[in-house]
Amino acid sequence: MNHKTDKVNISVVRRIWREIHMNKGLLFIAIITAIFNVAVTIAIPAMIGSAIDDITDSIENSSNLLANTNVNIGVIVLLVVLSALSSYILQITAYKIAYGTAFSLRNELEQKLHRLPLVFIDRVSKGELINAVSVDTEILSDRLVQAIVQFLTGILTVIGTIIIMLCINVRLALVVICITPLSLLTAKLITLRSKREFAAQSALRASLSAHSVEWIGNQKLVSAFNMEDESIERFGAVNEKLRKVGFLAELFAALVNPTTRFVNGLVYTFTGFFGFMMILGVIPGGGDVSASAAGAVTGGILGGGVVTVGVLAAFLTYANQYTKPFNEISATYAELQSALASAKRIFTILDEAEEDNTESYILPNGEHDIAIKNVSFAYSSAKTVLKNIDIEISSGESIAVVGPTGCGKTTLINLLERFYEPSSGEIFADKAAFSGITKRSLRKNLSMVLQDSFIFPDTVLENIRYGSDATTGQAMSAAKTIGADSFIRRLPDGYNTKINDGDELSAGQKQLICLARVMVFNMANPAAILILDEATSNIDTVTEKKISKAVKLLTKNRTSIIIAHRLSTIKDADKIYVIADGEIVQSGSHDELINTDGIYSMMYSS
Amino acid sequence: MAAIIDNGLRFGASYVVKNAALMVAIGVVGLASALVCQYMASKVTSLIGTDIRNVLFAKINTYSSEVLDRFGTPTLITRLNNDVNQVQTAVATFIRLAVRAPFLIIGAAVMSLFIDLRLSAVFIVLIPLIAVSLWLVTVKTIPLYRKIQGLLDKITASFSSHISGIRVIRAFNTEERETREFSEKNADYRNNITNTGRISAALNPVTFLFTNLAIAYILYAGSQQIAAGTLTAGELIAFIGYLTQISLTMGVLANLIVIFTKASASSSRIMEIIDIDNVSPSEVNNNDENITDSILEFRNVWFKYNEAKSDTVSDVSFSLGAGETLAIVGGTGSGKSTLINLIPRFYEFSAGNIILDGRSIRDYGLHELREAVRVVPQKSVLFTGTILDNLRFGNRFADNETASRALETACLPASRVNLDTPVTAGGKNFSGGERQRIAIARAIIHGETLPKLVIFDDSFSALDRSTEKTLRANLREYLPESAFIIITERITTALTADKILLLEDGKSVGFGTHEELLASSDYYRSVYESQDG
Repeated sequence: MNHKTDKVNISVVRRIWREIHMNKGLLFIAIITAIFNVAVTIAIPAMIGSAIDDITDSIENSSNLLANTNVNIGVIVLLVVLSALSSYILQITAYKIAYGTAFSLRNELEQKLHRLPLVFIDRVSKGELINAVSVDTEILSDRLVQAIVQFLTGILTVIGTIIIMLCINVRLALVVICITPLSLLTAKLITLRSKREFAAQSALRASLSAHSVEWIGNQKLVSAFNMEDESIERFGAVNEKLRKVGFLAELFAALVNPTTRFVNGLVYTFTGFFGFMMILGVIPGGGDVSASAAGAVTGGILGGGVVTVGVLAAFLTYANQYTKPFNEISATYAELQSALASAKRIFTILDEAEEDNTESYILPNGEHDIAIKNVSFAYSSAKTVLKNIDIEISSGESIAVVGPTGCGKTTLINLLERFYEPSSGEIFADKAAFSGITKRSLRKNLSMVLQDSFIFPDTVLENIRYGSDATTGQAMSAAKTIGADSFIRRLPDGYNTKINDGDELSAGQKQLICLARVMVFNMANPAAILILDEATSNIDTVTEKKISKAVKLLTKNRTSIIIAHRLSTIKDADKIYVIADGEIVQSGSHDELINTDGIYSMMYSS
Repeated sequence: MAAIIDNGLRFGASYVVKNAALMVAIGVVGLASALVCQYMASKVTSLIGTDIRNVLFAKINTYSSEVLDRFGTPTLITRLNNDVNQVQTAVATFIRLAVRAPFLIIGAAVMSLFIDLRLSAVFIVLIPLIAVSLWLVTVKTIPLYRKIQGLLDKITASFSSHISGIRVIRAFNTEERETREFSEKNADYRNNITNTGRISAALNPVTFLFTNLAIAYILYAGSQQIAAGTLTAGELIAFIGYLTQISLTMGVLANLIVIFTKASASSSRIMEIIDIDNVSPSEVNNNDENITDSILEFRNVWFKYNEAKSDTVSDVSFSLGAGETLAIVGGTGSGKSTLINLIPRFYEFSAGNIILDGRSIRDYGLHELREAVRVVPQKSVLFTGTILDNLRFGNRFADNETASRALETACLPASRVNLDTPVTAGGKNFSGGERQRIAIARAIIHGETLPKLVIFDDSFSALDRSTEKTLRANLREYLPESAFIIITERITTALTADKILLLEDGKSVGFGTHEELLASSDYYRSVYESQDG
C-alpha cells in the first residue's frame, strides 16, 4: 500500500514539475543563479581559511604577507557581495515561479469549473471546490518557494562537496557517501508513518472548510433555530479530530529533522573516528591504489592521499556541509507533505471528467422547431425523474408545463439547456439532434429565467446587462418595461448599488432583475426561445399584471416554454402539458383541459 | 572533535575511542532534548490552531444579521481557514527555530567580548544595521500582506459566485468573460504578492552581506593586531567562528520574519472579527401596562437598515390572537420580509414595541424567543445530513415517530421521503417544492413547548394549489393554538386568513378581513382583481 501511495506522490510531484516547467526561462535563471550561488558560497570559507593561513604564516616567517592578506580580504568582500546578490535573485525567481504556478493553477481550476458537467457540480460540496482555489493553491505556492531554493542549492551543494571530498581522499569520501543512506532511511521510516496523517489532516481541513461554508453561509437560519450550540459542537468535533491528526502529522514530520541530525552527527563522528584511525595506521590509510584515482589531480597537494591532521580537518568541514542540505530539506518535510496533499486535491479536481464538447454543428440564430422525443432522465442509479417525454413545439408557439411539485418540470429545463444530458431519447432543433449542436450556439438560441434567481456580486446595472453589451440606457429601459425601475431607484445607490450576496433583495426583486436581464438579452437575440421557470412566482400579482404586458411582448411570436403554477401566467399558452411523476398525463389548451376531468381541472377548480 | 584532533595524536587510539563515545553520548542527549522540544511544539501548535478556530467559529455564531451582512460570509470563511493556518505555521516555526536564536546570538556575542573588546566594536555597528533592515522590511511588508489577503478574499468570492451562478453563466455563454474577470483578480493578486516578495526576499541576503562584511573587516583589523602582537591567530579564528554562528542564526531569523509578517497580517484579520461587539439594542419604552390577551402585537414599529436612507418599516401596528392566522400581502419590496424578521430579532426594531404573549420581545432571551417563534424562510436551505438531521433543527430530541408526523403534516408522506434519505449540501438533491415542505416540517416540529407563532415567508410558492390547501389544513390541525403569519402573493391564500395586513412601501395601508378590505381598500381590490381567474 505504501508502495502505491509512493507512486501517487511521485505522479503528483511530476505534475507540479510540469506546471513549473512551463516557465522555462525562469527555471533557467533559477538554476544558473543557484549554481553561481553555491559555488561562491562554498568558496567563501575556503578563502577565509586561506586568509587566516596567510596571517599565521606571516607571523611564523615574519615575512610581509600582510599585503597578500589584504588581497585575500578584497576577494572575500567581492565573493560575499556576489553571493548575496545571487541569493536575492534566486529567491525572487523562486517567488515568481511559485506564485506563477499558483496563478495558473487557480486559472485552470476556474476554467475547469466551466467545463465540468452540472450533475457533478450539483453534487460536490461547494466548500471543497472553494478550498482548492483559496487554500490549497496558497499552501502549494508557499512550499514551492522553499522547495525550489532548498532543493536547487541543496542538490548542488551535495554534488559540489562530494567532488571536493573525492578529491581530498577517496576512501574517506566513500565512507561518508556510504553512510548517507542511513540518514535517508531513517527519514523514510518516519515519513512513511506521517504520510497517512498528512492525507488525513488535509481531508479534515477540507471537511472543516465545507462545514463552515455551509453553516456560516446560512448563519441566519442557524440562529433562527437556536442551532448555534450544535453548530459549534459539530465544528468543534471535526476541529478536535483535526487537532489530533494534525498533532500526529506535525510530530512525525518534526521528528524527521532531529533524527536525521542525530544520524548525521553519527556520520560525522564516525568519519572523524575512521579518519583518525587511518592517521594512526590502525586502518590502512589512503593507500596508493585509491589515491591513484584522485592522485592525478590532487596528488601534489595532498601528498599522495596520505591522511594528515590538516586534511582531516578540512574534510570534516566539507562532510558537515555535505549533510547540511539533508537537514534543511528534512526540516521542512512537514510542509512539503502538506503541499503534496494540497496539490493532489487540486489535481483530482482538474482530472474530473469533463462535459463532452465534441459537437460540431453550429445552430444558426433564428427560428427553430423544437421536438422532445421519448426523453427520459434519471440521476445515476436513482429513481427516474422523467419518463418518455414527447413534446413538439413549432416555431412561434408557446407551451406551458404544469404539474404537482417535484414532478420533474425543472429537470426538463435542465435538459433543454443541456445542463443535464438525457439518459435516453433525444431533443431536436429542427432536424438537428441537441447532442450534435455546440452548447454555445444552442444557448444563444435560448433565453432563460430560472426559479432560483441568481444575482452576481456586482452592481444592479451590470446584473441587468449581464452577458450582453447593452448600454446603460438600454438596461434602464428594460428595467422600466419590466417594472423594476421604481424599486431600483429607491436602493441606496440606485442602479449602481452593489449587491453582495443577494440577501439584501427580496426574491421578487431578484426575479424582476432577472426578467430585465433576459429582456436585454433578447434585444440582441430577437429570435431566441424563451424559457421561464417559475420566473414570476415571487412577484406580487399587481406588479405581475403590470409587467404582463411586457412579458406578453416578450413572448409574442416567440417560441416560449413556461413553467408556472399561476393560472394567469399559463392560460394563454397554445398548448399546456401536465406532468405527474415524470410522465405527461394530459395535454391541450387551457379551455380543453379545464373542461376535462383530471389533474389540471383539479388544480384549478378551487 | 577539536579535542580529538588536538590530543588524539598524543594519546593514541583508546583516547579516540573514548572521545568518540562521548560525542555519541552528547548526540543522544541532544536528540532526546530535541525530541521533547518537537513534541511540545507539535502539541502547542495543534492546540493553538484548534483553539483559535473554535473561538472564532463560536464568535461568528453570536453575530447579528447586521454584522453578517456587513462582512459577508466568504471573508469569514477565509479567515477561519486560511488565516488560522497561517498563524499556526508561524507558531510552529517560532517554537522550532526562533526560540534558539536569541540564545545563540547573545551567547556568541558575549563570548566575542571576552576575546577582544576592540574587535567587538564591530557588533555596535553590525547589530543596529541588521535590526534596522529587519525592521524596515517588516514595517513595509505588513500592510502589503494585509492587502494581499484582501485580494485573496476577492478571488474566493469571485470563484464562489461562479459556482452559485453556474447555470446563468452557461445559459448566457459568459464563461469567457467570467474567466477573464477571475483571471484579472488572480493576476492582481499574483503581481502584488510577487512585488511584496521582492521586498521580503532582500532580508536574507542583506543579513548575510552585513555579517560577512563584518568578518572581512575582522580579518583586516585582526591581521593588523596580530602583526602588532596584540592578538593571537587562535583568538582570531575563534572570533570569526562566533561571527559565522551569528550570521547563520540571523539567516534563519530573516526567513522567519517573512512568515511572521504574514501571520501578523492574518492575526489582525482574525482579531478584527473576534473584537466585534454586537450592539445591543437600546432600551424600549416599557410603559405598556395595558397588556392585551393577544399573542402578538406590533405597536408603532419602525425599522431602518443601517446604511439605508429611508425607513423600511414605518409605524406598523396590528395584533394577532392565539390560533389566528394573519396574511401579509404587499407588492415586491414592500417590506414584508423585513417586518417579520423583526419578530425573532434577526434585526432590531428602531422604535415602537413588539409584544409576544404579554412581554416585549426584548425581554425574552434570544434563545427563548426563537424557541417560541418559528420561521420558514423564503429560501428553503437544507443542511448536509439526513432528513431526520434536518428536522432535528426544530426539535433536538425528535424521535422517528414525531419526525414522521411532522413530515406527513407537511404533505411529505413516508412513501415519498424517508427519514434516512441523505441530504446533500443546500438540499440540492430535492426539488424546490420538496425543499419547501421539508423546511416547513423543520419549523413546526416541536418538543413539549409548542411554538407560539409560526411565520411562513412565502413558503408555499413552489406548491400547487391543491397541495397548499391540504398542507394548510394539516398545519392548523397540528398546531391548533399557535398563531400563524403567512406572507403571500396569492389572494386565495390570503382570503382564508383571519386577518390581512396590507403593506405598501413599509407602511400599513390596511388591516382587516378579506371582506372588510375589499370594501375599504382600492389597493386590495386591485390585487384581488389581478388574480381573479
